[in-house]
Amino acid sequence: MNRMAKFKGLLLLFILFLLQCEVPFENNARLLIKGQIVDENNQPISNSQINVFVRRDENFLYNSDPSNEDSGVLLGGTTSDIDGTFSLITLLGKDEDFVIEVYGGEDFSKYMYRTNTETYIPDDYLIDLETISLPKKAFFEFNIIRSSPAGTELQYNFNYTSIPCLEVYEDGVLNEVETACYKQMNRGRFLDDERPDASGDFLSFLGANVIFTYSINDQPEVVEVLTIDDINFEFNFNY
Amino acid sequence: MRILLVCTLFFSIILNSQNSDDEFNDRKIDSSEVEVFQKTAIFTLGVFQPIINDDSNIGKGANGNLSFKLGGQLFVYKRFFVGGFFNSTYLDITDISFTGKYKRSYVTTSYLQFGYEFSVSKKLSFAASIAPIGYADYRNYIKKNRVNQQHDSAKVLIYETYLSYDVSDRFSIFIDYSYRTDTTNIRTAPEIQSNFSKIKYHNFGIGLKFTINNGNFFSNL
Repeated sequence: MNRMAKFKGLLLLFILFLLQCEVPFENNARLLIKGQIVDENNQPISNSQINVFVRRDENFLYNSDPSNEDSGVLLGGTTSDIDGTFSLITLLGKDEDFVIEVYGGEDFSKYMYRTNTETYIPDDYLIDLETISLPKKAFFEFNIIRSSPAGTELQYNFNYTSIPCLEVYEDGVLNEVETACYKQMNRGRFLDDERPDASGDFLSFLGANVIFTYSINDQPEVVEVLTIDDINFEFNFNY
Repeated sequence: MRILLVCTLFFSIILNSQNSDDEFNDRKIDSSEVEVFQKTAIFTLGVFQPIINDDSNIGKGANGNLSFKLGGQLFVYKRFFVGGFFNSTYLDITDISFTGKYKRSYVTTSYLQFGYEFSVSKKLSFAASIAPIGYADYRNYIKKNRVNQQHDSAKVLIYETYLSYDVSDRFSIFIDYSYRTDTTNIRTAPEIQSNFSKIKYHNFGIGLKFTINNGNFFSNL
């Protein structure tokens, strides 16, 4: 009897576990997702991969393998046409992490749309992403070398546009607090005798401006605007 | 639930009619009765091949497999009958870009039909019917071997004909054809709504009928 009770308990737990794993779907519903993918020059990007997931984390934006399906349940996928347009029909999975991922290839930045379909059904069962710009990625590599005598100090900062774009929508309205789309980032430090040189890199996109601000020995700040005109942009600075 | 209700109602009526079957067996049949239409009820078991019209997204993205149906007809006045049927249709999803991502659908349908049966010859019968009241449940299986599924529902309209050949007093074989239109309850974006609103089928079937010969149901009450 005791063994039977244990068995029933385990069975109940197993069933509960299975039910928890299942994604609830809206009955009698299909979602249409559409849009157009363009690059930084408004030129269409064909063969971009568009995937729709529920229970998906944000690793896609930062992971080198965009096809990674370790997390989430794939609801559907398609590729953009030659004119960059796409449309995709999916079931409506009800989840707080309903995600649309757009991947234009290794050369381009990535885009992610996230919303909560547990509490919100898109109007007319349509998500129109309209025009999504995936600017071409560019590596900005910098080398700062001190050529002046010892004791010279430098305070520098790079202000640049980061490339991943995460748009978070709540009830169909953009949540600007949680959205992180082409955010302005800063990277800088103070150089002195202990550490006179610096080098590094960051990702931005082709055509973007990087604002380089520096000050030598507490003199007034100098601002330089650098336009990234090559996918491997190198910036050397001596002070 | 609706399937169960329709089936229960129908079969309880048919089984009631069998109570007078014994009386029929005891009756003397004279030559004048040979011309009288004797059928009370017919039970049907059959298989059919559904072919989906490709004028809907489900039609473009799914293929029908061999399916089955069962049900019965009750002759209420002369050769006019009322039928209650249950069928199960199996669909494989072949192109998820039209349907959404799932593997297959089991469509269970129950419907009530009204029709008329003609005698073509002594052993050959032809019938035509319409089923204006019907309900279909599409169970869409998202993953194999898992309970994960989504449902679509539809109202069903079926036009059906069959040709049956009596192989004995009680058994006959038949072939049938039906044209079926499912008006679905699927909601989607206005620009593709019409692609999901109706699903049309041509069904070609074959099967076995078991006949209870006791004259019209109401004339025996």
